Amino acid sequence: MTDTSLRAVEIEHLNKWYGAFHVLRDINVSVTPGERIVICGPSGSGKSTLIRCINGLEDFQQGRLAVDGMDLTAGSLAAVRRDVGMVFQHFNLFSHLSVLQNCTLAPVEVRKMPRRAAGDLARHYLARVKMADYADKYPAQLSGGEQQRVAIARALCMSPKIMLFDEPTSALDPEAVKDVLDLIMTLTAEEKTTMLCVTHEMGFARQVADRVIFMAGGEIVEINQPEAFFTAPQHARTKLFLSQILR
Amino acid sequence: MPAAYVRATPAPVLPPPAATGRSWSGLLRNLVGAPQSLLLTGLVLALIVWLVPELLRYFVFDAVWHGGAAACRAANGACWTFIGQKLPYFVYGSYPPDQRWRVNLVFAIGAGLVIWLLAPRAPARRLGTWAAFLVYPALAFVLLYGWPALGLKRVSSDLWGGMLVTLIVATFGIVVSLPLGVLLALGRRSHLPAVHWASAGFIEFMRGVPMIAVLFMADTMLPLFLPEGFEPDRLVRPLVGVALFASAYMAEVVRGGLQALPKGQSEAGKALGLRYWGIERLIVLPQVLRLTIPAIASTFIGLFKDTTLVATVGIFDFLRTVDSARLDPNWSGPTITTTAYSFAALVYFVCCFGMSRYALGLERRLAARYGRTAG
Repeated sequence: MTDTSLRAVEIEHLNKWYGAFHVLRDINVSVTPGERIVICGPSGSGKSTLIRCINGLEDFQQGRLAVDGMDLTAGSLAAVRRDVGMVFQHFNLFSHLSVLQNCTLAPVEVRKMPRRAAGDLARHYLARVKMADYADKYPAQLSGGEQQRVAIARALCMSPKIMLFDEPTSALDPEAVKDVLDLIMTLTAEEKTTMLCVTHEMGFARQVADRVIFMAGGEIVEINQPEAFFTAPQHARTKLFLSQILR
Repeated sequence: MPAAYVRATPAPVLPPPAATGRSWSGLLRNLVGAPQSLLLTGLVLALIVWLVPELLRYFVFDAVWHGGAAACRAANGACWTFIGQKLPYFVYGSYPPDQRWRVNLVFAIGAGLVIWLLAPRAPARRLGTWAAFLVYPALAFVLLYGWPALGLKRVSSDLWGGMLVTLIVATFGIVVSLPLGVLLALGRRSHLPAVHWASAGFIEFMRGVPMIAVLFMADTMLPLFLPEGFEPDRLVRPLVGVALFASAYMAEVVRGGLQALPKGQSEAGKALGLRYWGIERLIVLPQVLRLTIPAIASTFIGLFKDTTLVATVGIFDFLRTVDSARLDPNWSGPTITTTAYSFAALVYFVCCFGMSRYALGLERRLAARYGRTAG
């Protein structure tokens, strides 16, 4: 398994600094296509920064990052972003566009899809996230959970090979959290998308993840299968983290 | 008292109580309810009683509505017949009277286009935009300046004046300053050093120099930058000066809006694979321009009033025609000057207030559609 083209994401010796502050330290991860990864860790551990590096929302100073066998460079950035979808903590729906227009914007402008086909595609995914009846509403008219479901549909309309979720339920009220997590679970399973998800929802991690990555202080502390990760953590820092969140 | 409670019957759903905010008794309480409000109400009433009858007397009852210069000289009120007689000069300046239908035609087409573009739910707005921004300027130029081959006598811009010139300067300024301001604002935020410094330098220079100085520079320096023998028209020079000056202010207004828009909006665009211009054009600018409508309207209103400064480089704008008409020896009289300036003030107020109201209406319409929050 040395052929990197078989990797969905390949990160080698990645280092990143904010000024003098070393936020990501010697990160090495490789993700196989279809794999579902959950990244957890205390706040400030660099987990969001790491997944934002994958689609170039953050740059890094050292190391190598390849997506689908393409090294991430200024030249390949656009191609990488077309294949990597992202769902944000604060949804980031375009507030001046209707729900349907939010979903058709990128297929029409980036994939050059005809408007009608993009509309059909958007309606398909809006139905999948149970938001079909809201197609003509504007984001400000939706609740947080509804907005996040639209944001998921918007990302899926680009048929991404890889989906990044940056704390997708942290800004939601408790009743909406389960809804959105269930949706992420079923959709990524059906679409066979590679998934990297930053989250604090440990039940979700246990249920969905193929592997759990634990980060602290800008480095990867432990990577393991969820069962082993939760029942038999190895590193002292992991044990401390788990003892504090699983009470 | 028991701590536990379980609802047995649902709480009733009721209509809201009668409005309390704007009742007469509430108004009365606000005006005279407390000693301070009683005092303020009294002061304001005294001011109204003192000013309003005097204004009414001067501008309505003692004003001259019929009758000539002699009646005005005798009167102790505004001389409206003077305004009526000079109105064509205020509108057209010295444009030859037998050719003024051409100006009227330009006004009529312009008004039609403005209504087409600004009215809510107007049909074929895209076509209207092309007509307004490409066809109309060329058509207006041909009509106003003339084209002897088409039988339109040449009318030198030296003869243009009054409201015609004010509207030309203001419209050109508005139409150029918005797109140029947007480009300058984007340029100032650019990561490319050359673009950043050029934009920031231009903006700061224009904002650091009085408009009159800009007009003088445009008048004297513009010909120096252009090839030998190509003398820009006397009216074109201040037109360029006003547009560049307004662009700098517009750029800062737009930049403020760009900073107010949450970063997540452009990040979401990037994550979907859009490139820089796609993100700016489709995501950022539509939201920023809506956010900045009040400030943009203020800039336009300021620009409209600043057009009066073109008089300093010898252009006969509306205010300049009013100013010169009041010195007409045939109409010399004690109230002519007050009448002339009051009329000018009224005209500027109507124009600026109209812009202000339109902007407010647009703001409300957009807020109703998209809601108030961004991302």
